[in-house]
Amino acid sequence: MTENLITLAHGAGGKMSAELMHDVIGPAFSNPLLDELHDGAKLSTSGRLAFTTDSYVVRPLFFAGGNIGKLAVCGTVNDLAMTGAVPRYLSCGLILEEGFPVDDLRRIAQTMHDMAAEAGVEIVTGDTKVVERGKADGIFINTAGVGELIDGVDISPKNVRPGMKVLLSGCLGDHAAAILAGRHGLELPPDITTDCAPLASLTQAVLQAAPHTAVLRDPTRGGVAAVLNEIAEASGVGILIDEDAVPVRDAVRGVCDILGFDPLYLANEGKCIAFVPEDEADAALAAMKSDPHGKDAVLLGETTVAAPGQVGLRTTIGGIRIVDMPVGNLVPRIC
Amino acid sequence: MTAAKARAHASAADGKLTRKEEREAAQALVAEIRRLAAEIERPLRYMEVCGTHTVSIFRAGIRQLLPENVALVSGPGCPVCVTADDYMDKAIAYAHRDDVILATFGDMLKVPGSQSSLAEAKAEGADIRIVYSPLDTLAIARENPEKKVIFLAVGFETTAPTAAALVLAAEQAGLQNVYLLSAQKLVPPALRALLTDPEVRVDGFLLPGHVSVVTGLDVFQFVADEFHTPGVVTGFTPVAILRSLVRLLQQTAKGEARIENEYESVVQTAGSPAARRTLAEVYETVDAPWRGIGVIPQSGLRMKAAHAAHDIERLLPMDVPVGNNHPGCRCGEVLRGIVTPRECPLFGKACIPTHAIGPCMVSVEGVCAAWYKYGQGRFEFGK
Amino acid sequence: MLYYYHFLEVLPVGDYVLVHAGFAMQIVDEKEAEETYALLDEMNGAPRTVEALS
Repeated sequence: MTENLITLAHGAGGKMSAELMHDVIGPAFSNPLLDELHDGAKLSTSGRLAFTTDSYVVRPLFFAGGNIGKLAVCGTVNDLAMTGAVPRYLSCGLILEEGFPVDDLRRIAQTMHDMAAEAGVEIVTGDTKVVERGKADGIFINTAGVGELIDGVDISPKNVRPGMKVLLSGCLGDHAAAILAGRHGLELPPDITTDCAPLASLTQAVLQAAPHTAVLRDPTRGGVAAVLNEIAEASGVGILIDEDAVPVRDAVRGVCDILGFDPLYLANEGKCIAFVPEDEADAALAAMKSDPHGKDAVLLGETTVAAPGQVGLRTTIGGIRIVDMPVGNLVPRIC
Repeated sequence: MTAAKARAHASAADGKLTRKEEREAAQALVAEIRRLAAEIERPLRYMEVCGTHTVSIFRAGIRQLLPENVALVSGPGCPVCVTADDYMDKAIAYAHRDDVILATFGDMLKVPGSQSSLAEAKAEGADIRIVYSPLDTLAIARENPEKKVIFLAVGFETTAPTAAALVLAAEQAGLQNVYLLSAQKLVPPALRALLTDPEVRVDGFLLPGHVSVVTGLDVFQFVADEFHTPGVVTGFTPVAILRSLVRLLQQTAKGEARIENEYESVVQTAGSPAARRTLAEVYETVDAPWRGIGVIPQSGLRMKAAHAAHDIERLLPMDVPVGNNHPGCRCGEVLRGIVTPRECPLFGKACIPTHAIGPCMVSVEGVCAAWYKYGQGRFEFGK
Repeated sequence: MLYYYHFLEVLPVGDYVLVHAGFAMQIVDEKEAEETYALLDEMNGAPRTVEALS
């Protein structure tokens, strides 16, 4: 195709749509299932399935270390991983704004391809629509995914008991800091980039080392604070974490200081929280650390009989303060 | 730990304390606080008057470490919270004018007026710009000569000199279209009002660290001399706050009343003469209404006649209807430290951060907002 | 045009200063500057609070 901007015709289902598929999207995602180009993909899977979907509306589209495409693949892959599944197939729905640069679409599609390869998934079906200028803010992406649930694994908040350990796979706030710094035009130290990454290999390693893992969650919007509060509420235990254990890169801490944010409330796109029984905690932590995306994993805290439904933070000086659910929309359009 | 050892911790700079050192210093100080509190026995109330202290105390979990008979209460430390409720309505009314650009710090955006907020006005098309320094207003004014650029000047002695500097800079640059909508206030008169209020009982003050950078210590001397109440200028780290509490308790135990400076690294006894000169050049002191408290004599700043050309209210007075207080709202008592937010019937129910009714909830520095954020009024984990 | 961004009697070189709303308010008189304990991140974007320049 010769155009360098997306037009309404590219979404109309006719010749231009076919060109877009043929020249831009198809080559990026290419795999045997997709290449059949049916209305739907015919899949072979085994056992019980996990199924999830997410839509991506991040601003800006391109940021330090990634773009909306990277989020769209990793986000859905990770949701599947957190349910205790091996991610297999993704769909990809695109809504493009008239006038969107085709080169940007190429870059995004290529990123999605690369991340899918890293995550071991295939993008097997999808859809592309184009809306008038001003109606879609560049590009919106929806991905849905299916994965195969791992035998013997039962991830559920109802399995969380007092006396379990809470593990965190690495440093907090990287993604939000990268986005915020991009938005506010702050000059970034080189080590602030999004942490967006596929975590399926990490979660599988944890589940192998700790088969009685009760919950896996990725702390995206609302951060660790939101996840812990949700689990405490759903399981009826208290959760007590240690301020000194919370890992945050210095550069991210600096961005937080300037813009006024608390890392516990910030979105992450490549981190995992695990609730594991005490006798499996050491093995689970070692499994996290052995994964390239879990090198900075820490023991964050534990679940308690006291304070059911509450999340407490033991501060450096030894007081315990409550960590509540975030209120309002701290950082809009973060993913 | 003995008092001497606790004092030894006080003299070391706590700038680069390791976590371990911080924890140990805190433990020593808490032990000393407990010892002194047991010696004194009776219930004690120490008040801080700075939004940053309010938040710092919550962040560090300090209340949870204090003995039963030592209560930390918050006073009127949030300048947005004590600003008359018609201020936001005026700001919003100015913002809606086609010939106006509003320049403001980001934390003002969500503060509600009686009907609306700056954030809503912005969404409706009003030209409202967030600045990080008042001086950013100059560039906006230069780029928009046909517009009136109004800076929302709300704050205490820490911020007021920077707004004054804006006026002087605008005059120097010949920028006539720079204005202030000013509602700035002074802290010492508020302390006097609290100390003469029969409903208020305070055994000592954690004095504001950054206001003192400008004012110096002398302006607080009357607290000790006239009201026999101790005050300690305090930094913002958890250890600094604990150190100040130790000093307050020591004074209480001995029946003393002095003004001390815990924040010596930054606060000089004489304060900042340059900042005060700038302030005096542009402002004069007037009586001012403090929301929830009433009119406090000589507690507000108004632009001097010589600079009236930059006072938007003189140029373009804006009448707005007087708001009604919500029945049930106890902000007035919260702001004076008489009740805690939990004792207000609206707290956490009708009045929450995303739907604030009273001034204490409206601002991120407000007492109720802080109490809400750190557990919605319950801060005892497991109790 | 020179606009004054500070209220210091003496301009410091190599010292730490306390910064508020874009103005240097005071020299920090300590061997090691006081670390900013992340209060600002609670203030959610209120630039009126202070940060230590380092």
